[in-house]
Amino acid sequence: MSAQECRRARQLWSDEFDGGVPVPAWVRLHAETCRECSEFRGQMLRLRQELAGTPLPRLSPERDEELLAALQAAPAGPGGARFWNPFGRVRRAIGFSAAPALVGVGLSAFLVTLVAAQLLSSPAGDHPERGVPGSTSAREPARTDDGDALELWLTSPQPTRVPRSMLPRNTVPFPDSKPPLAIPERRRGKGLHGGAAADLT
Amino acid sequence: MTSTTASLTITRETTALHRESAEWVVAARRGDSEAILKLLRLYRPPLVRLLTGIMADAALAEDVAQDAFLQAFRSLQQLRDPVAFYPWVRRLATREALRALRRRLHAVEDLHPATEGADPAHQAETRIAVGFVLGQLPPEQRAVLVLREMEQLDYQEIADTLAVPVGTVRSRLFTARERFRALWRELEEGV
Repeated sequence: MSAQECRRARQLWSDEFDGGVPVPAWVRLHAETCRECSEFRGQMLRLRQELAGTPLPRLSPERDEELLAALQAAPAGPGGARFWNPFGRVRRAIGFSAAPALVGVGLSAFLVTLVAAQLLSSPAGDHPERGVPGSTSAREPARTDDGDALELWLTSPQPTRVPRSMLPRNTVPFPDSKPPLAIPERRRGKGLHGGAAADLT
Repeated sequence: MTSTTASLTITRETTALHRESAEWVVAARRGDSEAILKLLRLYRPPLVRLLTGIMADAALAEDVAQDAFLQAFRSLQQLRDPVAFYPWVRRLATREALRALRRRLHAVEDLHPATEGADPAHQAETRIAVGFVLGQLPPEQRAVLVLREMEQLDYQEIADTLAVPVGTVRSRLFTARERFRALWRELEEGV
């Protein structure tokens, strides 16, 4: 009877104690002849009886109250129960509804600021000299032409000289002589359902 | 109500009780004080008993159980299944108990007050001898034995509780039993 055989037998007993398969016949025979392995089984059964039969301790109920008080006094961690704040849900609901309103107010304020800035930097207010020839109104962008470049009054305080080479060919130089954009004559084409074309002019 | 049910022994047979307590867990999430007290009254005794078996120190076991309950109630929202409240607290408590034992590194004799001033070899009562031998096992081996024999958990449940593989549970249980046998023999022989 080798030590290895004994160890194997005890391992199989151990497995059986834990709800595993019952030990094979040779292990039972082995336990009948091996004092150590027989004792092992007996000791494990006693250990089980003792531990399973350990009575529940009688604990002080005051300790439960202390625990509860500690829970109510100390704040919970993230995601924990908030025993000290019964209105947490109401506050969260208000927070969720207030967030879009705050975003709206912020956006409106930004737009109002933008419009006000545009009005304050208008040509009539800050730059009365921009009433250049050809302009019918102080607010109307005016243009002058010195042959090589167009001087454009745009939204900036100073006129911008743009070389003609950089401008498109069909740029209208003098808006006071004719409309800057001529409305092309249009001919109505065929309708979608094959209707007859009709001349407009 | 039978005496077995009255003793509130937490085993697999008390699953119905777990289900009933699940309602208290749901209420406790809302901060219901009465539900918290009910849960404490139901689960604190078996948890202290388990921790006393692992730590071999009733006072320390009570402290660890209290910390585990505090931690559990504060993070109760993280518990998905309210039925699993006790296994969850047990897991928290067992791990904390093992951490505490590793931190303390006290002498084995100090860990078991029941044997103070007595020579276990001459004690007739098996309970004291079992407690004495159990107290000499390393904490990890003691934990698997107590979880298996006292709580009657299977390998998978012990593995979940201790955060170790199932194979480790099996081998650790066998090692613990072998060690228990050797210590018991030493005790009997008066070594």
